[in-house]
Amino acid sequence: MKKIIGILILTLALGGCQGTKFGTFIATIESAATGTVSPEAIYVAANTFDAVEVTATNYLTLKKCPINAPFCRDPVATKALIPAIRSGRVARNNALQFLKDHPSQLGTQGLYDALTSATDTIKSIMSQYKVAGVN
Amino acid sequence: MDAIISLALTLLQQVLPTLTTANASLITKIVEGLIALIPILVNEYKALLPMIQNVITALKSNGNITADQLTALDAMEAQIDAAFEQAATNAQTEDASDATKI
Repeated sequence: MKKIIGILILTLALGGCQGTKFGTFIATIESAATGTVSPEAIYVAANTFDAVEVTATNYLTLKKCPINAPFCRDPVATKALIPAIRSGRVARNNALQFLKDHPSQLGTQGLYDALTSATDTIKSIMSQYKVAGVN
Repeated sequence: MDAIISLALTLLQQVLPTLTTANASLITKIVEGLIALIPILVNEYKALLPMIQNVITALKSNGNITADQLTALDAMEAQIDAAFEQAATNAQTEDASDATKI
């Protein structure tokens, strides 16, 4: 079980954007037929964003570079990450609000796209600045 | 994180042949580096576990997300958001204070 969880952790958040890809996969199949996404896809996308936010939080708690340690926090990356997370949080909340307002109904593709796009933007920043936790 | 582990192990592999002379100082530094890595791995693992569990539960539920699941997610996200904002404030304060010193 630990191995399975470990693999999932790596694929969902630490190993890149597999979690988002999976969510995208679910959404793509459904949107091809309906132009909408399932509550499940939105829920997975929200959790994927949350995982990225946690990784960003862990990064922000590192000591500021340059220091004599294996890991440190780049102030430039910090400046880029903070607004990106806050912006993504709005997209996440909007998507989840739809789920609450319309239980068990399909969500709009736009809400889902905004959320996954925000997550991808953050991952791109993390990749650019080699933030721990992202390839 | 797997990239970092991979990089660390690759570097270690490259350095190992030079350790035949039993360079105690170098070995100490390598061990210190590995020890520094452990809490980061453990923290990351623990912190991401709830999201993984949520996804597993959702995938098992055949697309039905219950009100209870959304309420639980709300509570978890409130903590995640608060932790991020605290870390962001601390980081920005540290950066701003260093900028003033220059």
